[in-house]
Amino acid sequence: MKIDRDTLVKAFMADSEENLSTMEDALTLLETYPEDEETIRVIFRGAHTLKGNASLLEFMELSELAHAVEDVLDRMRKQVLHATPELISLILRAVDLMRQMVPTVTDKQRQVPSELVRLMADLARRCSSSAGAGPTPAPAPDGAGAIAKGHGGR
Amino acid sequence: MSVKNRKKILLVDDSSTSLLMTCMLLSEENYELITARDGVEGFHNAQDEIPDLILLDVVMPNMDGIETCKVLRACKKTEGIPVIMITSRGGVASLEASYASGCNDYVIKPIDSGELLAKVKNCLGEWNAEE
Repeated sequence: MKIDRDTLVKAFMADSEENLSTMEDALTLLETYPEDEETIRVIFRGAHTLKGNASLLEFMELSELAHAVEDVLDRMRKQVLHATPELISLILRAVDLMRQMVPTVTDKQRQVPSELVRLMADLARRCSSSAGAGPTPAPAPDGAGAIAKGHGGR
Repeated sequence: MSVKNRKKILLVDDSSTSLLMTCMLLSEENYELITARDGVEGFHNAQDEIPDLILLDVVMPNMDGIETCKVLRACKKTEGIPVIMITSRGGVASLEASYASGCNDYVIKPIDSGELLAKVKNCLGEWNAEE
């Protein structure tokens, strides 16, 4: 099999920028129209595609963060969670962090951003609270377990 | 295999990274590969090109893979074309929906090259074909 990894990484970078911009635009729209199902689906697809692409190239930290965002959006699609300003802000933080992480994925010397573990825990906490919209969600298991245990280091 | 007899495969995926990867995985098999970026484009290409096989991603804009497969099955020109659904790990619900929509088989992302090739050859009836 002829797998040209450099070409794949270039495609991944371009795809990721496109997905993150689409997610950001849709999140801004969601602030005005928090019940809009298609806007939520657009953001979900962006996270889903980013997760899959990162996993394909074994960029596991990025894939896990995108997966955590996808989990939250899946609950928003199913109307278990609602698009509160706090939740939109949390997802925007994740988009910002993914945008910072994308250019560094091939850097072997890179360090796991401290924000990543905190953000993963915040996203997991949102998923585990069934009401989801409250300002003080119940404590949840450590959602950043895989990363904290070093699974995200490749 | 002559150019005339090359099997034609339509790849439908909204991710250019994923499309590129699948093209690379199938590149040494002398298939004719055509692509589409969503279900609507995929359905149009399927009607125009009548491929021998369609690889269909599940999560896509405009028309997702499940709906696309249903539309393909409902159309006389495309109803008999084998479809392999490409789905994400852990998506049991989407697997059930995929089979209900009429797909022939599935592969899970990230794609294992050996598994993909085996399923492609199986759907194309190539196991006993003389190359």
